[in-house]
Amino acid sequence: MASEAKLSHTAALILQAIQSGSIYGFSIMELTGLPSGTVYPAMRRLESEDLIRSEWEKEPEPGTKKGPARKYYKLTAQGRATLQASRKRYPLLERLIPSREAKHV
Amino acid sequence: MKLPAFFVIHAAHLCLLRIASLLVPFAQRAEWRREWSAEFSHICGSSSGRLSWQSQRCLTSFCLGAFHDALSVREFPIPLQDAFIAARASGRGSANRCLLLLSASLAAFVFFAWVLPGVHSVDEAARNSLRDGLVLIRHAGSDATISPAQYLAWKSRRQRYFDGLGFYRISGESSPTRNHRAWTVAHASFGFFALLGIPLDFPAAPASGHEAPMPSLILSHEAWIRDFRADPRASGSLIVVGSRIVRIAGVVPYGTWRLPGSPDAWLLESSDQLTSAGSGFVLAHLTDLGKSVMTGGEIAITDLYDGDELTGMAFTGRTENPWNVFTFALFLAVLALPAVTAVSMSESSFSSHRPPWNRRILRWFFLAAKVALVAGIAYFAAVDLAYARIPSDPGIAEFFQFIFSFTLCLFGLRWTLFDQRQRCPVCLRRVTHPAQVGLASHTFLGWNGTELMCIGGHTLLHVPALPTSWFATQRWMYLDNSWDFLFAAGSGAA
Repeated sequence: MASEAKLSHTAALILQAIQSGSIYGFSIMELTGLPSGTVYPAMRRLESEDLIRSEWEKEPEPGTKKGPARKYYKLTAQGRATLQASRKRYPLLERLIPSREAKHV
Repeated sequence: MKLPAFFVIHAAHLCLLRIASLLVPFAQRAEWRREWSAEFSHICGSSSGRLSWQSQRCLTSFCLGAFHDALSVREFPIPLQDAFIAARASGRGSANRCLLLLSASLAAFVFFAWVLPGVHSVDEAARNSLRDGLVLIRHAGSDATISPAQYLAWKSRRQRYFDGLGFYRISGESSPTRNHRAWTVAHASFGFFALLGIPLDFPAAPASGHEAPMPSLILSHEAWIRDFRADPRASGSLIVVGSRIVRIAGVVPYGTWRLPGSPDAWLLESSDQLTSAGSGFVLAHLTDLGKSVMTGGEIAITDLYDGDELTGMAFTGRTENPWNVFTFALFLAVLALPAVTAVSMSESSFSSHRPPWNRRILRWFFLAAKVALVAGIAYFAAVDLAYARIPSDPGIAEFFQFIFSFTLCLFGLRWTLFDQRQRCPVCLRRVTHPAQVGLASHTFLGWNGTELMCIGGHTLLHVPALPTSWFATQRWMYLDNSWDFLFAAGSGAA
């Protein structure tokens, strides 16, 4: 069962960051304080385990000031279940990075 | 004026990303590069309003992370990565890793000592010291005044105080070197080196029949290095010195002794050849009776036939063994250690809990092993540094060996104690993740200092920033099972 998979604190932190709405690599770095050399390899790993899924943004219209399209990440159903299981193991996770639901409460 | 510099840095960042992308397998490279470039553009866009060194440093750090990512894409299959990460995480700061690194360093320095010719020379010199009881005979206050005839007369008579005599005189001769630099050649009697106690590779053959023996030449260590580039095949070869063809019978071993005249080479000659030229020096070996009348390194000698008053000065050529130099330096370093660190291993615990006795013994063994390895490293590193080249002045090399040994021992032992204090008493792992606790301005209201953690989850270490009467030394806090949830995830997990 994927939800029973043991995640490192770093991986759980990244999942929690994505859950909280930081969907780009750099925004995850900013939110977690982890360096790029940790975040990106961890995300590739999570993606290969089907815990997150990546997609490309639509290319911006020519002439707009927006930069190039970026890759963003989303939790899969399996990722959400694993994160839920991880929260039991890391009770401070939600305090460190409140999820979107918690923010709106 | 900063703007052009930032353009250069920006170009360097792009260059880093491009180089990193080369590590990614070709099939994934385009997408990988696209993702990193997009993120990089976004960061540059968001920080363009504040072109500062701080933001450039962040960008550099971001770009360097691309190499980790590229390698992780390229690296081994996931199970292998798991094993690698787990091994790396479990090994970090562990006692085994520490001993392994120290052993590897020691092995490297031993290897260098084995390879370096200077170290061989000093070992050889320590083994080949001159005979005891040698005296250099000369007229008081003057040099080279003993004629060959006088020497031969002494040699022909029965001596009570000496059981061996040798003669040499100094002259300048053209050398076989490329620029025919003049050598200072000592013309010495046969058996001169036997008197000194130095064996020769090719001992001079005595005259046989009508054939005159090939003159034998012994090179000084300095001339062998300078003019023969320390060629080990020099012994036995024929060269021209002055107008004579001579055979190199050996090389004087490296050592601290110097005879007056500092010859570049020694030419062994028969008594007939010696008598044909000027005055020189006489070296003698004392009998037991001679040694007993020697006072203050001197012996007064009277030539009963000529009535000459001479002086015999003790001549010693003992090269200090590098091990003796090291042990003296180690002794001084141990004496000086309290000046650079607290030598006491005193520490306390917040509770009465103590690790099991076998763990405590293991901890002391670990300390002893580290001290032994550090001492070994200091010895070999100092010898390697001091004798990296064959020294022209052995005294200076000894001095440098002493200085290096002392410095390495002192700071090596300091590090050993510092490292030991930061090892978890349970698993001997180095405590990590330092966190500053408290405020320095509140020193007398509450403790402030650094808290470190054993990643195995066994202990917390509290080190006071300022020792006080209620918190003088570091304290260990042993963690019970209630802390396990913090350390439950294996380091090797995703």
